[in-house]
Amino acid sequence: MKEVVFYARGGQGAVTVAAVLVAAFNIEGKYAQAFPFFGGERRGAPVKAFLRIDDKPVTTRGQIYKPDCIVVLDSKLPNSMNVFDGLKQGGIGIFNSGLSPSDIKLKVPLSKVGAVDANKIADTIFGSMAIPFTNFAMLGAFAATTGWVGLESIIEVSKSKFTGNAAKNNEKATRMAYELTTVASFTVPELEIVPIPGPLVARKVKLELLLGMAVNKESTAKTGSWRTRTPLFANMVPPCTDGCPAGIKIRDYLALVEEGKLAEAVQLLQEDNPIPAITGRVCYHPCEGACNRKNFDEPIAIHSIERFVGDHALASQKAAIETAAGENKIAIIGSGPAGLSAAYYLAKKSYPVTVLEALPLAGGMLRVGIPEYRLPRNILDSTIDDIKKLGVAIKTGVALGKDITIDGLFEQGYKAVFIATGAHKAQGLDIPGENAKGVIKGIEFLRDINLGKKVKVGKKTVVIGGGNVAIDAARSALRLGSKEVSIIYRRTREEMPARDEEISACEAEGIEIEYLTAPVKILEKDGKAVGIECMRMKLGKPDESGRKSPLPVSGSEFAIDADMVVPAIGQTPDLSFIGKDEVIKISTSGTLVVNAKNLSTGRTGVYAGGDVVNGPATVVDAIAAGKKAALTIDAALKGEQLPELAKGKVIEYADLNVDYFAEAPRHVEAEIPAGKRKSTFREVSAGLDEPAVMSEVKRCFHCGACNLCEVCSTMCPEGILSTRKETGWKPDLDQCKGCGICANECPRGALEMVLDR
Amino acid sequence: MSDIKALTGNEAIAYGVRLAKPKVIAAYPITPQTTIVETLANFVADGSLKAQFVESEGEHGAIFTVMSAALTGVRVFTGTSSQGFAYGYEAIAYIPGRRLPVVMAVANRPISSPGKAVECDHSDTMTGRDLGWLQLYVASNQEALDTIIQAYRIAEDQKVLLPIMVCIDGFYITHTTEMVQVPDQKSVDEFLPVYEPRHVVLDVCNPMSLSGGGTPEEDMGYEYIKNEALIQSADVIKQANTEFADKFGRKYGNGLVELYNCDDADVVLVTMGSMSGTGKIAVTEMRAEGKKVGLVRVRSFRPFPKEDIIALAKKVKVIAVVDRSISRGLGEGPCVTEVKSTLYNLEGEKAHVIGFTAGLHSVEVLVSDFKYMADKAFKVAQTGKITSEIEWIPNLEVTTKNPVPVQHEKLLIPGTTACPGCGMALVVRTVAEAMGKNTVLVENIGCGAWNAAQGMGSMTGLGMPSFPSMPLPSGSACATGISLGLKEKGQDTKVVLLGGDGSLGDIGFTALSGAAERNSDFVCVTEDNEAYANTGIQRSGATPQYAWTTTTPVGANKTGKSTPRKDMPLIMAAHRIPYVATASLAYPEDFKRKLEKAKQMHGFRYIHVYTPCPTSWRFPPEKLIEVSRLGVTTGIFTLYEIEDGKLKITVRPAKFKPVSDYLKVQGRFSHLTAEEIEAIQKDVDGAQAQMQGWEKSGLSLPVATG
Repeated sequence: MKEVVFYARGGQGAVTVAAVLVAAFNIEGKYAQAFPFFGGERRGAPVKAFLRIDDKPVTTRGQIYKPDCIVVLDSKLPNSMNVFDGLKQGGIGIFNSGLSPSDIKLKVPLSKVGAVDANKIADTIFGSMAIPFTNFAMLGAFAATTGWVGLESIIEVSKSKFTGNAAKNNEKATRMAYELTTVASFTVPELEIVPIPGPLVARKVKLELLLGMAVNKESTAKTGSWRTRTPLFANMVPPCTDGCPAGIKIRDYLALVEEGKLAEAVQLLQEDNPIPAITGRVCYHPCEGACNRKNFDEPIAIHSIERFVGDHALASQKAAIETAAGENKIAIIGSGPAGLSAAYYLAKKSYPVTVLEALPLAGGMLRVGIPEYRLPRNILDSTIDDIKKLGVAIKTGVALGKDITIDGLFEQGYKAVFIATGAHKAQGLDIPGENAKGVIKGIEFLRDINLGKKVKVGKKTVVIGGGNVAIDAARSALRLGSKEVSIIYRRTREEMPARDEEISACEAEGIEIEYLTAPVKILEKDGKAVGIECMRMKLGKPDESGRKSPLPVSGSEFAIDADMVVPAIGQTPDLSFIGKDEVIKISTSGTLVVNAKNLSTGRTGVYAGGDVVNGPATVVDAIAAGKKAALTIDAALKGEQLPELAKGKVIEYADLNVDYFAEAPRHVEAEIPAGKRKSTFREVSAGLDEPAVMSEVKRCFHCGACNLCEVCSTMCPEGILSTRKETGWKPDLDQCKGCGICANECPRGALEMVLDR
Repeated sequence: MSDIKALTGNEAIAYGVRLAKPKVIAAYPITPQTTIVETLANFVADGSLKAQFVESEGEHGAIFTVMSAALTGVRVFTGTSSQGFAYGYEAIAYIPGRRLPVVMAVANRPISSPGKAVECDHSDTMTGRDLGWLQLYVASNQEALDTIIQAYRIAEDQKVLLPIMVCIDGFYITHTTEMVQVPDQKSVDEFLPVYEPRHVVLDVCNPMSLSGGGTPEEDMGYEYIKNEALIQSADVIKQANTEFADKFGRKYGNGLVELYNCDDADVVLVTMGSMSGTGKIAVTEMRAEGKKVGLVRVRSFRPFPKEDIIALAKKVKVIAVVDRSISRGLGEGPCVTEVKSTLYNLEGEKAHVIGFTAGLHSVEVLVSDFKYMADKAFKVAQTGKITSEIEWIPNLEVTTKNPVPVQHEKLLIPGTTACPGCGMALVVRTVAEAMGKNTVLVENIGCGAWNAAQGMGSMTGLGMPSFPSMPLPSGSACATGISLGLKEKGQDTKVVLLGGDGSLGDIGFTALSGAAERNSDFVCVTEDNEAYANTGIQRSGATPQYAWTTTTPVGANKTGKSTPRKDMPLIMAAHRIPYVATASLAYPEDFKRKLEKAKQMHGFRYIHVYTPCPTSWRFPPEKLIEVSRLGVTTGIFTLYEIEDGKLKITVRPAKFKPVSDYLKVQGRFSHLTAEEIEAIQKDVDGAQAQMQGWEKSGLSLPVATG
């Protein structure tokens, strides 16, 4: 008689395997008996099943203590229990394992070892570690290793027990495993001599019992061995960070604000954005567009929180450094957001940095493109001052190509140059009358205002264009006293590149926007602009920008009055400093060409970023470019490689469990009423006060990160999850059964169940 | 022509029952009998067995149901085990007097004293040996099937007309798979004539009434004829055995006993049930060594095979009887007692008799044990002297001590045997944490008590005094007793009863109702997972309509449970107790608040917790809370409390989700048709409207009059 013990987990059908073999042996004229361990079977708990085989009817019953063969159905079980218990020396071991049989650690010398990766076979057939297929694969392994029963007998039995796809797949699994099982034979050392039994002595059992069947011992079972998957932090990227071109760790600094740790919030925020007081006011906040909460009620007012933290940063005391400690001095051309950002990060790494600015005032587009009512001058000045306090020198009135050259900078001992000159050259309309008096390009108009020049405006101002420059020009003209201000734009509101808030603010201030209208000719009288001949447009197929292209509607010409025309249809970089023999390349759209990974221009030690590379883009893109330039330059000077950052998976709304959240309205910044603000350049938005900010940060879902909200520890059936502040999130892995409730319930989708393979 | 199949012992019995074509089957699930009932439920569902299948509320009811059905003149079947045998004892005692050929399979399992003892021994059927039932003990799956068929033949014989127990070792036979020949229907029909009662029957065409008893002499007379019929049935058993062998080719000794190697034996072992197979191996091995030993398997214990024992005693020197049960206080098992009593007055030379008590509570009886026992018998044969009449195998050296109280730190000790994702574990945890240490916890057996609140083996999973594994019907009565005892001792300790929907709503409902009506002072928490989960997912009174369970399977004739579930909380409210509340795992604050409230009150407080079960309801364990929440947000389950008759809804979803959201996540509903889903939706809509109406107008309970 041969005795076999199967090792599996509760609820996985180990007995079915044994029962199939009973019938298979029967086909071949043998007798067999199969049964489970006679206790309750709990899902996932390690269990045994038994099989006896003989040439005559099997009459004995009861557990098998000294099997001739073991079959381990679950590949992980040998890690948590002794599957060799009682196995006879010289016996057979069959394992669900990816190892080769000679690599499997044996506790008893065996004559044969068979191994097959049944999990892989089940995966191949079903796409997951489907237990039934694993078991049916092991049936094939049993036949292949022991040779005690034929493959076809097993197939015949399983076909009679199952139907349809299940039967087909079971057969597939069995046959595949039969082919793939590798069997190794070993010579077994001299077996121990079994002593001849002496006079029969009664079996004795010693017990110490408590009267009344009392129980005092606490359960010591380590049910962690039941687990086939473990809860772990999924480390997914929140959509706000993913949507931010600078990759700001928004969720995490919001959490610090919620805890009242403002200084730490500033520090974390400035790891990726050195000028938060500015971006909190002017950024187009793609983070809010990506915020998962938008699918629940309204996205978090991240820009308001960033402004608050930024203003706090400006108001905080800082020590000033005269000059940086390091040796390698770096030159940065342009003091716009890209240049300032690069300067900040290089100074933080102790590089001596000099920023060279062509205009009389520093700030780039922040200074000359964005009006005061959006970005107060004191905020901009304080920001620049704080950067200077890091030891950065800013020299104004120095233009590249005129006052300095790249060659010249290297001769002066600079080790690297970062070109961040932006895109300030206004694009022309290319229509007749463009050069008449009263026609002033938008970007120049704004520059003049912001550099303090006295600027005259007409009675009736018409701005041409749809970007922020156009909107700002219109709103500035209004504030300077133009009685009637309007905008004409050749597409519709949907395609307008300006920030939605700007467009709304513009309309609230009484500025009309005429859509699907393009200028054909500027009407002059005595060399002065008196009006614009316009044409209606209709939308056609999308162009390279992805927006529907405007197509003229023939015969739709009409004229409008205007004594001031402000074309604001885009800017390009001024690349006149690039000489004929320069290595640095210029693209067809008139921007500098760089290696996207490290911002290198191709000329050693010269880098470029921001609008000069991208064409007119956003402040936050420039900030990101500045930081990247700083990292690149630092790496290059140290002879190191720029580290590659792996992109993580972004956490989506469906990954959250919003049943734990209640709706709450988003806080909106107060504004100067539209009627009142038309005549002043005072800042329009008031920001949020501290109570409002503290209330708004609480709305953050905290996507993908644990904030010890205790949902998981409340819902864990056996309370083995700790969510105490002192230890953080911590499951007791000795007891965790891997049920997955914690991961499923986590409101912020911070957890995932990782399969133990 | 027969069909050979790999079947467990329980399945073999179910196949045998199907061949016998009973018309009414009633049973209550109890391990290790459950798969008999489940297999039969499947046969009824797929139409291969045309019978009325009753999912009874308890064994007392189940056995009375089959008895009464038998009174109308149809063939019946039931099955039970251990505690169920005890619970149905009144019915078991009742049947012989009515002379009805009820066939009952009993999966032998100890009647616990106390404890859960889900193991094997013969103590259950042995306690019923005096009642007037025939008792046949089988030793293999094949014999189980064959004996079921023979049982009807024997019981329905005009000379017998008594109920018969077919006893099958729990786990050793019930759960073991072997190849079994299943006879064809035609041959069985030829062997088993149609049952035609000629004596008592409830039938308007042949009207007769039944009496409850007669004069003392008549009643004693009834005992006399019962006893006589039972003794005479021995011939019928033998005859049936021979006829069966002629037809089907299989014989079991002479029907009463099976002799193995006894012809020239000096010593014989006497065994019953599955251990006989192991004994035979020992005998074979000893014979090979030249030892003259044999084995007698007693198949019929009632009637007791006196003649065969007498014949044996005249031939051999020593009879060694192995009992798998014990008569406490007498110090030996019934078989050895009856062997000795049979032989006491026998004149002339006769065998010595010694006894062994072995295999209680599933303790294994090994080949080496049998050799030891035979060896002892040989010593007696040699010396002619008996040194010890009865020996326990193995020899037990037991020291006892009084338990020393232990202060546990934790309230719930992890490392329980609950399934991953168990809702009951979370209930036990929440209740334990809310009630605190000054509590005694009583638990009805079931998943909640067995798994969620108990460690493995004899270890505890709770940090406060607990009384787990109460037999199903008793929890409420036990909690009453504990609360009164503590009151007398002047302790203000809280008493909490935890039980499932099965134990409290079905089999334990009588006790629950009684405790509520008396306003017993304890908190009763029902963990409603809508099934008997611990015994393998059978239906309970709380199982929703259409749900799949093992006793309400889906087949050609059946589509899950046919009746709607009963509303326990409202039933309890009708008892006019101080506090009734419902709770859900997905709303822990609401649940905890209700527990706190109940904790502060006195009298009978009832909290019904909606507790989904991943294993029974067939959804992945990680969705436990999700399903709990859907139950409330789809309106299937309402969270409310009733205090002084006033209903207040405590969690109000802003808008109800469609019930299909809840149903589609659970495998137990995967067979539902669109019409059935619509019917459920209508039901829920109506119930919710009713709830809202009650809350507005006040759920006023009737004032008791008279």
